[in-house]
Amino acid sequence: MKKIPTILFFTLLITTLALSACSSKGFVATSWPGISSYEGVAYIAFNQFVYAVDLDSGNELWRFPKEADRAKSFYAAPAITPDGQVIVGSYENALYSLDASSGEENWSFTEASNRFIARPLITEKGIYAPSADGKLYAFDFQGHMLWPEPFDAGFAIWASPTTDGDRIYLASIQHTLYALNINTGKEIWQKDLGGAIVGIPALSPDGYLYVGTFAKEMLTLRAVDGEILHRTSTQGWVWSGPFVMDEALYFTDLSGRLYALNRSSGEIVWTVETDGTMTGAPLVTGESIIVGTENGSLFAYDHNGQPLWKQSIGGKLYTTPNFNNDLVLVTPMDGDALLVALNLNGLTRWSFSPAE
Amino acid sequence: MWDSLIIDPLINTLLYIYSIFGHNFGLAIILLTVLIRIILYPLTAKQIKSSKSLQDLQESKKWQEIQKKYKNDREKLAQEQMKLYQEMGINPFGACLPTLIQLPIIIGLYQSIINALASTPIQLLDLSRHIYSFFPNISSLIPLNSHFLWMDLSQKERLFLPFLPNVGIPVLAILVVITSYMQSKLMTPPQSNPGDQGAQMSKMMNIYMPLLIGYLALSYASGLALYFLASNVVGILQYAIMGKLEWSNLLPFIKKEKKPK
Repeated sequence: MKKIPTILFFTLLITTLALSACSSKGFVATSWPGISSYEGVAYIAFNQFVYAVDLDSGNELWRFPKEADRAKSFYAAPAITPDGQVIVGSYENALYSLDASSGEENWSFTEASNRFIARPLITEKGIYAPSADGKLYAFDFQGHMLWPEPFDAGFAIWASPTTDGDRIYLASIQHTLYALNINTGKEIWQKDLGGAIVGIPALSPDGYLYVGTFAKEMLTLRAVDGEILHRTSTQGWVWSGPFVMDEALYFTDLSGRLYALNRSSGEIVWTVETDGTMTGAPLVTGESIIVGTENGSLFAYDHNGQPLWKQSIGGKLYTTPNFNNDLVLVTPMDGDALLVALNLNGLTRWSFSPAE
Repeated sequence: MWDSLIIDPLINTLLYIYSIFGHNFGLAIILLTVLIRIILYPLTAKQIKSSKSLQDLQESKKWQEIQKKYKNDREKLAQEQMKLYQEMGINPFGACLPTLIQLPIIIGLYQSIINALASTPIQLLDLSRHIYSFFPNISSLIPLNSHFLWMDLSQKERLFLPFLPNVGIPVLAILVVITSYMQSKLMTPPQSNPGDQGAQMSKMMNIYMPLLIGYLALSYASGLALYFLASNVVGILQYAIMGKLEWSNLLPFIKKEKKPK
């Protein structure tokens, strides 16, 4: 009989530990890596650090912070300003400006009330950082607020904004696309698209916006007034933003399909099915369209949807592949390496794993 | 297996309740808690019955006699007690087994709440895999509205009062501790031998369990704390309806009527 309370106590203890394992804190990664590259350096945000990696050698240049800090974790892709700052948001609600050459902190912003998930937008006017607290914060390059008040969408923003120089186009996860005045942050129009949006809207040079939603649709809108022109159905939720190239639009969905769409008609020209879920956008070069899957495969197709090559990277490829220095850069989650660099034929050049 | 048996049904039920009750996630958690309590009622009833049988046995003359007779021989005492359990057809674990069976549901519910709130991309991706393909109009539900009263259910709960802007009060965690303590006191049958080891352990558990559950409520998403609070309140109400609350444990000045033996 006296064993019963003891059994109960230990069961409760095990329950506590089991629940602790589900916690979003600690050293277990809670999202996939974010990557940007600029002038021969890749900047990767993952878990406790932001890494700068030299693309010629594959060696680490610096990391921020220098020592792991439980109060800091990074997953949003960094953005690089023209004056050499790496702007990166953390899951602990702070936005940091780092010196791109040394990784030293320039300034930080700590007034957001939720995490930074999206890559900030950089223009010649400043830095526009969306937060999961529903606000879009605008800064000059010294970290001072540009607008009297941040724009408040009321719901989390996970998607990076895009701009034509005069307006910012911003999607909230609560189904709404906004057009804002870039100088004031005031709303010009808004449109409910009928499904959650987490991918960056694509803006074509001829003034059309393309946005994918969880309502299994790719929408075409007129940027000037937000009028919806086409709704194209997809098999799965559209997670990432599409890529505009000439008359074509390329995008992926969670069903593992890559689509090519005719921008004028809104009709799908071709579709190919890969081996797994795709959350990253396609990387489009002059010759190929490259996509990564959750199963750790990297696929390359030509612009007619014909397969060129397939490479097994390992881990899970959730992040959009990046291209710099003639290298395709992929950041597997739960893989052997944090960064794998391949040439355009899919051959691995080098890989980078951070030292402990 | 765990996902298809526990997590998927819980998440889809939670989403369904959310979709028909005004897209209010707090209300969905409370209603799901009531639903789970109703489903688990047979186990609760069995637990009460087992506790009562055990208590009756421990108050019986035969039990008292062997306690006295073998007070210096613990091994023999255990043997005799076990014999008595067998004679009376009582399972000494009968009272705690139903509690243990409920634990996977508590863990599953926590995971379901965190999954459904999906506050990071990987959680949202994970959620997309738990939703049944036939779930109607799911695109209009995602993301879930995590605001309930003053709380964001995906975050830890702290109430900031206008005159104390820098001090966040964990109201929900405090309520969870109070109701957990009340629940454990109100549901524990009075001990026939308050001095024995079992009674002492039981007393300790009545203190540790509310503190442990309070720690969870303090440290994790407030959706979980809301579940604990709702579960405690519904549990107390359930016992009250069955007339099994032991008010004398909580309020010693209330004297329990002794039944003649």
